[in-house]
Amino acid sequence: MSRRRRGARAPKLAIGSASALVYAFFYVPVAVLVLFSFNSARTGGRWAGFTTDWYSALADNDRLLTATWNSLFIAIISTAIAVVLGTMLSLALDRRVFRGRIAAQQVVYLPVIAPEIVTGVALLAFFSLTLGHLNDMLGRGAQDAIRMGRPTIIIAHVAFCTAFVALVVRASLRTLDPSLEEAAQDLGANGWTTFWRVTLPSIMPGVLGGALLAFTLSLDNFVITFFVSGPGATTLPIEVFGQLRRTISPEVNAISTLIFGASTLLLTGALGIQSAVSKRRSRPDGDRGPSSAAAVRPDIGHRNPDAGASQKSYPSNPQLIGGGKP
Amino acid sequence: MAEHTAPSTSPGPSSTRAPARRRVAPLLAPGLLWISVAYVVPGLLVVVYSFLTPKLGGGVVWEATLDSWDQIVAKGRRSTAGWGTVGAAVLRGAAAAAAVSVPAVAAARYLGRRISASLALAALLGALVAVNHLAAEYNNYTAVFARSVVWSALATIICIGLALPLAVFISSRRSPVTKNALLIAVMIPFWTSMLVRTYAIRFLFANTGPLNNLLETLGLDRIVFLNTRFAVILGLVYTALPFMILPLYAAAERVDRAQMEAARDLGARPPQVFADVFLPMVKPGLIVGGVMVFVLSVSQYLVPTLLGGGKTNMIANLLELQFGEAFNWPLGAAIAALFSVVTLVSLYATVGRRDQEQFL
Repeated sequence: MSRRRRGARAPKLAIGSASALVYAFFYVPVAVLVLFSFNSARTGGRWAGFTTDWYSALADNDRLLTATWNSLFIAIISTAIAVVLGTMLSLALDRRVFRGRIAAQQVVYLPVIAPEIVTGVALLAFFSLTLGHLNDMLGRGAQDAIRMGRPTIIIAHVAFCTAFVALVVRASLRTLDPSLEEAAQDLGANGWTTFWRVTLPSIMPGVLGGALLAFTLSLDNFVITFFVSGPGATTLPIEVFGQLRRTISPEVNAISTLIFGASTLLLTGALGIQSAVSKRRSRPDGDRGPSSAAAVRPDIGHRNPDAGASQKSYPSNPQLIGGGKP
Repeated sequence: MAEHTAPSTSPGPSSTRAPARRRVAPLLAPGLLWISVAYVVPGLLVVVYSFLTPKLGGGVVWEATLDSWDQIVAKGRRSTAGWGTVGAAVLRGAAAAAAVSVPAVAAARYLGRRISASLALAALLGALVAVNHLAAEYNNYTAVFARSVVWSALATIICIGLALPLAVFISSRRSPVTKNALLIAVMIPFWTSMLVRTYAIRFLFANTGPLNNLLETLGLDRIVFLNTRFAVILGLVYTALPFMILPLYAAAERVDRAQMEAARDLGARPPQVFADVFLPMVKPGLIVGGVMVFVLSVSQYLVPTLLGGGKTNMIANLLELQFGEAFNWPLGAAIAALFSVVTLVSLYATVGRRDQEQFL
């Protein structure tokens, strides 16, 4: 007996310490970055004293401020469009039977599987061709030609955000028993009323999760944006990339810290909202699934290899973990 | 396409007969159209561009040519490529297979399993090493492809090794609060911008960065880490690891603890329980996570750019070069087309049709 116990403790210890190392691996580089954003030394990785100068310098950096505003503008517009289009797509794919459904599904999920770099160069080729023709048609010369900028970035962002929203909302739809909607219709509700009064309230956590995912993806996207942005309109990641390629300045550490803080806030805020929404609509049968943290990324669960099993039981929570950003 | 193969696990189409008759076009068309304009049309355009003539300063001249494909496949071949190269590749492959087969067979023996799987694994690795060597010696383009694939495969293996204990650790916590906290701690890096995370690694390991200063203070030698292949592989692991942990955790969460208890009670040693009971049950999560890590890594642009410093190019750098400074759009288009085909084929080959329905 005692031998077996001892045998079981050693692996546990190994697993625990390996996990601690993985967490350290995740957080040490970021923690060092945050710490050194308060370092008063202009260059190098030697601690010279505490300062918040680099943060106040950010406020005077016009390029950075413009890029931040561009990023927010693009993310808000793209998210708004993508949430509507993605929810519609998920309804079509999950609540309708039609010819070519599988083919449509392949197209819808193309942004999820296509390598970003290929999408980037393909869009560059596409936009330069179409804008070239457009400028010829409008008779615009080199001076007043329409170039790539905010509109082209938004077109690209809406496309991949829509796919991810569709993915996330579809996961929610799968947990919603269609007989609820059928019941509403049997009781005389039309399609529109059924959607607003039955379907949408039930899939709201999924829609919110999708919106948050779309917003984050748009805000963070680098590779695709890199190819479809013009000299006129850069986004925050593009601007930061440009700056950190030019110099290693503590300002870059400061802006990186702010980006990290913002995404952490966004995530925890979203977790709070989602668990509030889930609690409000769920009976007191308790916590939905292992964690509200998980519920924020419903897309993932949906890709869960085992999702089929959990989907059969409607009250269970498929909104676990298992996939991710492109 | 066979739309009737939708698995009955989803309560979707098959069970909603009444609303199914309603029109689908208004719901489907806007989103489908938008994605087609941004993905399908440019994708086809890339294929067309790969057969055209490059224009100075970017863009294409609409004259058909096979030059770009010729350049990737045949031209630019290194003079060293010959029978000697083939011999070296075979030798390397055999050596790798032999080296791997020893521990693999020993592990199979220890776990009381047949050794055929271990031998197959060794043969596969040997073949990979041989092909990699040939590709690297053949020409610059195949070398970049091979390098990207091998580094991404390495990153995937390391990610599996790191994610397994973590998934076991989180899923075996009893308190939901602890579980939540541990999970959020994985999700925060998952949500943080890829650029910031890559930059964090670059800053920490820079030649005059915090780590090297610490080493110097301790009286140790500085290390040159940036712009090496190790930095790129570490960066790939760092950025992709959450994508491995999360699906693996989801699978581990579903593992039936009673079965593992039973195996233990019947006298199985911990490694045996792990290999014969736990591993088969989390295999789907392992596959999904592995595919995601690989696909993400093989097309990484930020990591090789910021940590590899241009010396150690991956496919994305090659693409950017052709569409940027080199201004050879047709060649870039050919590389992009070939790369997409390779990625999509390997994706569909690994994730079967049934899995794919759930994967997507």
